[in-house]
Amino acid sequence: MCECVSVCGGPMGLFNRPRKKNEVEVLIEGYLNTVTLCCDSFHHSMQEYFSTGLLTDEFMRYERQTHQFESEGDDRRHALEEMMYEKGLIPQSRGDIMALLEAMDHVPDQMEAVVQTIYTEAIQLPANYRERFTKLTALNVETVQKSVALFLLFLRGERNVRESVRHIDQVESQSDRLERELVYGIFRDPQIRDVEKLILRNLIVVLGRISDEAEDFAELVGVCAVKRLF
Amino acid sequence: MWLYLSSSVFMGWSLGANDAANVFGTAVSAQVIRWLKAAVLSAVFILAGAMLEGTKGIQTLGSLASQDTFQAFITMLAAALCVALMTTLKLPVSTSQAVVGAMIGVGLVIGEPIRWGVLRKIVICWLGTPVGAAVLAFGLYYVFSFALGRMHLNLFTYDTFVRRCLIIFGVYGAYSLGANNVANVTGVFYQTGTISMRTACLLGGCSMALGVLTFSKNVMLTVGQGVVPLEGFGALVTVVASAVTVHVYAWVGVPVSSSQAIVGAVIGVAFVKSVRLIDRRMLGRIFFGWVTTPVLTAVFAAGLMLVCRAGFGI
Repeated sequence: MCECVSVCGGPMGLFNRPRKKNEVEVLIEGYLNTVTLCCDSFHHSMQEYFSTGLLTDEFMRYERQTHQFESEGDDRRHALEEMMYEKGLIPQSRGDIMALLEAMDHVPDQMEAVVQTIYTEAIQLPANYRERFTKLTALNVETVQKSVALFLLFLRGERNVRESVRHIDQVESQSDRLERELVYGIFRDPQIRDVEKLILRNLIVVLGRISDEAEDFAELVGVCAVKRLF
Repeated sequence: MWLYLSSSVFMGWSLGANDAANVFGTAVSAQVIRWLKAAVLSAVFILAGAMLEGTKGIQTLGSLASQDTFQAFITMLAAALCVALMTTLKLPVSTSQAVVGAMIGVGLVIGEPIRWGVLRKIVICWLGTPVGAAVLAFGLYYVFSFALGRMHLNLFTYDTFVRRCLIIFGVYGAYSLGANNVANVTGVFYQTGTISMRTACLLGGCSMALGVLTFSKNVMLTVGQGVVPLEGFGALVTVVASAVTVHVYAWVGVPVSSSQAIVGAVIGVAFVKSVRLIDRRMLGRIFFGWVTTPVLTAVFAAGLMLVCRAGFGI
């Protein structure tokens, strides 16, 4: 399902000796794992929905899981915020991590919003749009996965942060283009009723906001990384 | 004798209470270390610095002018009162400049010749303190950033590194402060022969340590943030540069201002980032402090000495 994440990739520390992990570091890894699990559940729920076009039991199971992981992520984030003050990180590190966690937290919120929108509005997806919705979902999921990886790159002090930020930006642009194409197509489709057009447009906007949030997060990582450049 | 020495103890107490913020203010205000631990470490290492390397500064300050015990008392009282007054008025003040100013003021009243060669050396060092700290901070920023850039530290290792260094160099800064500034506390009395060199170092170090332990908390928590308004790495470079600068002047044997050293270091770091970051008002305040502190204390000490002469016929 998911790959567990690790900040130090070893863990190795100064002068390549094994390094004992800091409690904050362990909690951040836990939080990022939860985001990854939330993303997996979201992706599975969407795949299920797009393959059948119905709110099946399997979809409902993944919808609940997405909600659970989103809530768990919130709890972990709150625990992290408290821990960061107790563990006495320097204000610069604390400020950066807090801001990044807050920005990252919008991503699972948005994934949850998508599956809940589908569930509460019982959206019927026209069969001829499923493929493009699947592609849109895949692009948005990709930005989430890249954002988690980017957070780890930043924490590890890697140099290629800028490239990752640029990559997320490119995927977000692809998602934007596809969103526009979808809305354009839906509103010119005579087989879809007006009310359904509005509902589908709302779904596209909510879905596309995942990559918007991921892009905002990536830009913030870029700023934090520049501040740390020596 | 102890009544006379009380003015020195007061000066040392005030110096310890205020200047410990220059070495541990950043670490305490950033919650890297608790105030009590910082205060104990500062007190111990200020005393160590005073005992191990305080003698040179005491000899230099003592050689500036000859005074008897009462004149030394007036000098220290005038300097301590001026420092307290200027601190209350939130004006930049240096205890080193206050003591030298007071010595000159008293010397002029009693007609005792000032050794201008010694004074010239001291003034050059005063000018060299912020400039030297700025140059050192500028260079250290590049050296440290080159070394850290090669290490590829992850954020937590980097954080731990900065935190540990802030404590280690805070300790070193406290040692330098003790070594350099103990002369301001007891140097005047040493030259009168009232106390021996060992007693001068011990009394000066202890009174500064007492100031740190009893009255530095608020200064560290509030002033500490204002002294170094930089992120972790910049703050570390500032603390290192100012500690080294103050220590160098302890070797040279001239007491200088740790506050001016840290301000100079902040300017040096600001130069690395952008010249526009430098606060010109702050520069104006430093220049104002340089001029007013010795002049004001000289006038005040001379006035106090004249009053004592007129009132008590001393």
